[in-house]
Amino acid sequence: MNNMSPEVALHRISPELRPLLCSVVRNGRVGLDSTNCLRVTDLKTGCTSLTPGPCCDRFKLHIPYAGETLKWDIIFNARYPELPPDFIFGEDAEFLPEPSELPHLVQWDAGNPECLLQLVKELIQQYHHYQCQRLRESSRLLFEYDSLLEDPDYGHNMEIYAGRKNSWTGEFSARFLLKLPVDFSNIPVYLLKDTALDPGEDVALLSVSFEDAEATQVFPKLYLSPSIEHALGGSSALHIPAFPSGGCLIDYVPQVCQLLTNKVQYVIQGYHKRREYIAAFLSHFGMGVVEYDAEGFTKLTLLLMWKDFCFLVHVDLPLYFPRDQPTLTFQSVYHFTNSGQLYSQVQKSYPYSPRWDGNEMAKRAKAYFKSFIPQFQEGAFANGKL
Amino acid sequence: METPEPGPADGEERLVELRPRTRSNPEGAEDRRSSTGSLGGNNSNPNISQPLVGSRVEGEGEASTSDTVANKERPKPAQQQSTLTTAVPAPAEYQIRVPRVNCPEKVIICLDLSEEMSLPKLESFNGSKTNALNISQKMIEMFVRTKHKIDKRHEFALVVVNDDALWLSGFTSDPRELCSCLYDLETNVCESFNLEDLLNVIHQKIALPLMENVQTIPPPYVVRSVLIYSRHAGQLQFNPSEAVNKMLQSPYFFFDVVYLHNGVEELGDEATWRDNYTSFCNLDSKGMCYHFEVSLKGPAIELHNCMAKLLAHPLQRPFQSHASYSLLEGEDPQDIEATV
Repeated sequence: MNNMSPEVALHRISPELRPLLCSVVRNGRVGLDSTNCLRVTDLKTGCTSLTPGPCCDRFKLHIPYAGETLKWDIIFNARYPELPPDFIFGEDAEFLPEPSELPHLVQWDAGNPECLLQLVKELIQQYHHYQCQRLRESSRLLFEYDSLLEDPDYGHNMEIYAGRKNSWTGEFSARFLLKLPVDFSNIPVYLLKDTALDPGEDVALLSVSFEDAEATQVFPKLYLSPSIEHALGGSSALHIPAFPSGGCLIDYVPQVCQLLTNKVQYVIQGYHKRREYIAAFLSHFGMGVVEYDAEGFTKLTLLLMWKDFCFLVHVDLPLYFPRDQPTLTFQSVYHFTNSGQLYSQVQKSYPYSPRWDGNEMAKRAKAYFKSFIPQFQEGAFANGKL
Repeated sequence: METPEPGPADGEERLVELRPRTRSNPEGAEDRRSSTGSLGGNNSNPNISQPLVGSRVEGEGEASTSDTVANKERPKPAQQQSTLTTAVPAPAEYQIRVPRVNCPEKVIICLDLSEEMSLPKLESFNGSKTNALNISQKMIEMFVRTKHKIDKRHEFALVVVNDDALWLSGFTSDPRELCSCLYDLETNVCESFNLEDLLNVIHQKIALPLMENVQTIPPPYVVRSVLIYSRHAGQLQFNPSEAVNKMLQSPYFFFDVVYLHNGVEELGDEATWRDNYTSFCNLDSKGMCYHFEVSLKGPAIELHNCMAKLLAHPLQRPFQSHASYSLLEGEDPQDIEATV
């Protein structure tokens, strides 16, 4: 409702408050989910209608937190822009942060453009503590929280949202959002740069929803930043095991981490293995190279001759090579099909072992070519159109 | 699911650290190139043969054909007015190595429509006679379709050459668009070949990349002209402007030639096909272009094979003199080792 672009908000806000709002809407990110920016809506003014604009001094800030979106009212006074704002924390009437825990409130500096953003971050921290306190309603969930807190890998990268789903049924539920400590820094760059999506930070978040206080209905979900998801093969990268009944987070979360780490390793290995493969093929067939993918090493085309008969071999290397076998496509340079396409034949199951190194694969491929080409040529002349 | 083995293997591991963490250097994969230009440090693996594979040694690069006998010297410029009048720097001093990346190509197919192209002298597969235009059309179709299959970013254009050059189509990445212009062409008697005009037409239609560092930053694309030419008579007219010269010397511009000749060696005072062919070769100051000479009276398969060899990406193909495609290399087919 009343969604506005950052530029419109900045245009309408009172000039003295603009720098503070600027830090927030332009690249202001708080919390674990850094792919979502902070949004501003409901920009209003407390001044009289005779006041010349722009003079807006209050708005709603939408903050992603633990899979929810908090909607906090932030209220300045345009006539006294040097004063810190008031806050209304949505429906969380019981959230009463201790001002002494908010350094940027205690020492509010209207001249520091980052001050509001920092204050919001401190408030989020307090909000997190407040939510964790509410976990006390369920000893089971409190146990989950405490055990994660002790683990340095997860303890400091959690957001908790707890409460009663439905004040009628009174069923208690909670959501844990965890940032997973998976190292994505070694993923080959070419896999990451193609997405037109927001580059941002590479992050993996695990959201676990407990629909009841006894942890019998638990729904985990994995979120990957768009470029990571793409690099790991798309939406299939989001598949994670179901939460085991009677299980607990301190066992489950490391399992998911390991799964993700393995996928990353596979992708990295695949890249290096493909590179080795292409290097070996260039070494064996290099004088006949037509083209090869010099960035991701996903394909290679060779031109070979056998008894004056020229043919092409297109090699396609899959993401999870060498587990997955490369596809070979043989093509005649003389023939077309009856429908006018290039005459070619695909081979997916020729002699192959993922345990061979690149050099061995090149040698075996050469032998395979020699054995296959005569029948390919025969087929081309029999079935192809010159 | 097989677990990938960690740990060093085949000398590849030392390449890992050098791949940069940043997103701004996609060429990190290529950073670790040995001085001979080969991919991946091969020194630790004795089984991978010499780094000469695909390498470009500085100073080398005299473009030559497979059939030419002892024609490796540049002819003296005084003999022909048609050769470049500007001094061509010696390759050894000027060899700039562009990163061997498969960037998109903009290929300009230049098709000669002189009368010679429609004389039925080529021997086709079934023994009947066919003409060069016919074969060229099929070759070109094979070429653009294959390039498109390999990389959909490649673009193509078609220029036909009579007395002057005419830009018919392009640039387009859709091979069908180009092929639709390919089959309604007619040949006619042409008086002379205006190479200057052709190069001017090309020059007007292209913009060559200007890179800050030619050796480390790959270009966004390269431009390659492929000329299929068949006239025998007369000298080439060629007096290039500075702009055209600059284009010819750009590391991102290539001028490949297939010369279909009549094989006549002696013509008195007139330039023979061989003289003209040499002129084409001399346009190639960097030694990176491919040139083929094929007899119009020979088997058509030769022409097909030339076009196939021209499929190779100009930044990744070997020097023409190094190129070798043979699979069997004299081996007896029965000696193929059993595959397991």
